[in-house]
Amino acid sequence: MVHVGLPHFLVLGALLFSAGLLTVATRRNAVGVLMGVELILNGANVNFVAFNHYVTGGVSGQVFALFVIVLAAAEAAVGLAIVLAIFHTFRSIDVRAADTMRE
Amino acid sequence: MHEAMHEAAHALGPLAVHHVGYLWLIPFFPLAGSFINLTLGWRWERSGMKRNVHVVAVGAMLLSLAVAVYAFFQMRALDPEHRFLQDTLWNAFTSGRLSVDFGFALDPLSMMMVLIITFIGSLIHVFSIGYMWDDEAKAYWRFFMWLNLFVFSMLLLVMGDNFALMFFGWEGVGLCSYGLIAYYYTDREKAAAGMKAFVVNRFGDFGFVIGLLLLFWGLGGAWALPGDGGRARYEPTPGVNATAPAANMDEALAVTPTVEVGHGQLVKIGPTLNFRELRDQVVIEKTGIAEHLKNQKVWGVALLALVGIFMFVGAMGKSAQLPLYVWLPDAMAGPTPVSALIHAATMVTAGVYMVARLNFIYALSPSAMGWVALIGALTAIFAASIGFFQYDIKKVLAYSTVSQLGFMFIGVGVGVYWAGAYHLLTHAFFKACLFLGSGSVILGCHHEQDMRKMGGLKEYMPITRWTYLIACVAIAGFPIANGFYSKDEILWKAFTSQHLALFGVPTPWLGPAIYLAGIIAATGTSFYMFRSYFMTFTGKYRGGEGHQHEHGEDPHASVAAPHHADPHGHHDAHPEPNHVTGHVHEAHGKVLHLGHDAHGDHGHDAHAANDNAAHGDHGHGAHGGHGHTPHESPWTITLVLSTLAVGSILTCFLGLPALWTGAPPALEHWLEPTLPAEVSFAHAPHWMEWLFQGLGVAAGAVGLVFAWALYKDGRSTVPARIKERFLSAWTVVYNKYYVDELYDRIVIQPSLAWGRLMSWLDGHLIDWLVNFAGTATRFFANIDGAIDKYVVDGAVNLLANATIEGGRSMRRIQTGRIQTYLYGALAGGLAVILLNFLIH
Repeated sequence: MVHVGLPHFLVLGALLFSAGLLTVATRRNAVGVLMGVELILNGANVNFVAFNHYVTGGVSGQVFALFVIVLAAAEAAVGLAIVLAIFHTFRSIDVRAADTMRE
Repeated sequence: MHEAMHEAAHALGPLAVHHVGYLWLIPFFPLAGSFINLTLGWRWERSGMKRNVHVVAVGAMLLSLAVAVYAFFQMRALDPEHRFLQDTLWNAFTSGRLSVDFGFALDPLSMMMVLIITFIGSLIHVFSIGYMWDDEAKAYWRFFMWLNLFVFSMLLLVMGDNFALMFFGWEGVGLCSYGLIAYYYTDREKAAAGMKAFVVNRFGDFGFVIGLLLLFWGLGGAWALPGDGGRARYEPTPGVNATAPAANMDEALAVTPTVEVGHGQLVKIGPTLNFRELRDQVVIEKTGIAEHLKNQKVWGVALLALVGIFMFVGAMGKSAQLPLYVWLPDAMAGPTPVSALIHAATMVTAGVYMVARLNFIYALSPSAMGWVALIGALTAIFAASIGFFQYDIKKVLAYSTVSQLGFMFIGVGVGVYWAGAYHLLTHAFFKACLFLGSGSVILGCHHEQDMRKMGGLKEYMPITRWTYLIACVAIAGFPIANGFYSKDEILWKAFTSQHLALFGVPTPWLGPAIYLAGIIAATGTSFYMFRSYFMTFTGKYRGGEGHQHEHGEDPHASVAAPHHADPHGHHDAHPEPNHVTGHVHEAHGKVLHLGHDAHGDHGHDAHAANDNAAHGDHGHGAHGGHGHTPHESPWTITLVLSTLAVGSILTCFLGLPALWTGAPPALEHWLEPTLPAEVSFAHAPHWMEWLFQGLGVAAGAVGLVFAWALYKDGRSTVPARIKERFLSAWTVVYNKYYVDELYDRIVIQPSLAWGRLMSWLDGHLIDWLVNFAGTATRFFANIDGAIDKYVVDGAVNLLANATIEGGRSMRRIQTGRIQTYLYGALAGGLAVILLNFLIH
């Protein structure tokens, strides 16, 4: 019987973070990029909760995770609004299209 | 005698000043008249209102005369010791202890000068109306503008209360003299005469300025040369810095040292330009300034002798003394009224006035006085001898003026200052009368100045003749007119003089020697003046006939008598029969008179709008066809002549000798407060003085007799025979001892050679240096330019290019794609993590 401990959670968090980072870096669809950001935030959340449970005790880690979830929701709302604005401007949600700040 | 001098000096106090507020009016009126004629005169002349020109000019003179007379009466009412009117207008400048006011002062001496200038000046202005009305230069307004300006300058000269103002006037009269000598400036010779007068006067003025600066420096005390012994008695207060800045008069006064001279009166000492301050500190013995000045030396020469001699150099120029007299005879190129006013009565006496004004300085230096008297005597006899053989009537008078100025300098030189001033006054009357008489003659003879073409004019011009005769009697020294009294006093005092020295060595023989020269000159004066009278007025009129007989025997006529002074530019010296008649007549036909009735073919009588009386008097109808008869001048001219002739007689009452009346002469008494200098004279018995007066009259009589014998009717052949006998000597004298030629050799040619040398140096050496400097500069500029272009600019461009290139290459990094940046951030994070591991 495998005992689930802190390392498992940390590995899970790292995997989620890596998957998110990979998504953010590679997806061309702006919505996809936003989804990758959510994955990164959740990877961090797993770590908060795991450290709270195994190391510090109390509830501060849990509350922090809740804040992050709320923040992620707000961030998604803002992000989607930006995506809509980009779509309006460039008629595309391809992140490579919005490169007018190059010059 | 020295004790007497010291006693007198003790008695003198500072001058008491009587402030008045109207003195400025005296010079103001002529200045205003001059200005009005300058701005409006030519308009008037063009628009036919020519009368306004002389109305303004003469009016200005009369107003000025009226103010001067008022000032005279005010002054006369004052106590003799308080006769000093002062009118300070404003402070001209202040520098250190020196404060110069623009102010006028009148003391008895300058009062006399102002009365002469305004009175004689007014008369000559009136004379000029008749003389210049038909003038061919058509610049009536210009003539009167200059004449008024001259009077203004002359008044400034005599009324200025300081050297600065006096010098301003001194130069002003020189300028006006130039303007009036060169009045007919289209005639090259006359323009040159003006320039000559101006340039010769510059030499004199240079001496004057040097003398002035030496005096100023000598008074300074603090600046005296180190090592001279005698300045124990006068040291400026140590706390007073001679160059301490002063912004206004009060400050200047505060830094000026003063000396208490009794009765609580303070006298300013130290350098000053003010005559009164100078007089007070030099004359009052308690200040110690006189001792201080006497003991000062410059390079071993007594300072006062240098001051006196250099200032006298200025007087030499202005008053036409040897060797700077040469401009005066040429100055006859100006119109005759100018010769009378400027070159006889007023301007040329400025030097005499200056010496008399500075009598207290001159009296301290017997050497300076000796020189003044000696030069005066030499000039008197030298110029008189030239006058013997001149044919141009104005030239005779010009040399006579030079000679008479010599007499004045004998007077002020031997120390009888009042007599020098008196001779100035008498000379102003009789010489103005002579000059104006000659002007009347010239006018009457249709601009003929050669006395050989005159003669017998007494029938045609009786008034001119009588006035001329009276003036001749005056200048020759007969006791019925004024010349005797001044000349006799001068010569007598010269004979008894004990004060003179040369080079610091007392010379008791100098006085009698000067007397001898003076009495010979007086004889000569009588001779040539009566010669001119007889040649002009007696005998038979020679103008109408051919006049080649005199020219035939005179090989030098055209050279030596170039007739500078012919106011209409006709060079009639050339022996052409019938030349005069046609020529003159034509010329006057052209200059026809505004608003005049035609005077028949005579055509020249109308010299003024108001000459009808004179015209009528002399029955020109009888000569009408001839068209060339001499005629009397208009009443403006004869009135002036009569006034001057009467004045020549009446002014003798100013100088009746003490020998006759027992009281000092009126003028001596009047001038006494101005002439504090005490000069010693030998006491001689009365019979000797009577004898010398007799000698003076005898000298005049000898001259008269010789002139009468030789020239009474123009028929005597003796002059011609004398001339042939002594032709070489005659030629030398006739050509004025070749002084002009000497000047040409000694001064003019070397000056021109020097000028040419300088021009050559300028063209070659200086230009070469300048060009070289230019080339060298250009060369260095090129090098500098290259450095700038390649080194400095190169560095700047390099930096700029490097920046551009750097920017261009960095631009590629910025893609604008967020994911690219993310890769970069990831790579960086990874690198940090890896490094973290590696370092541990």
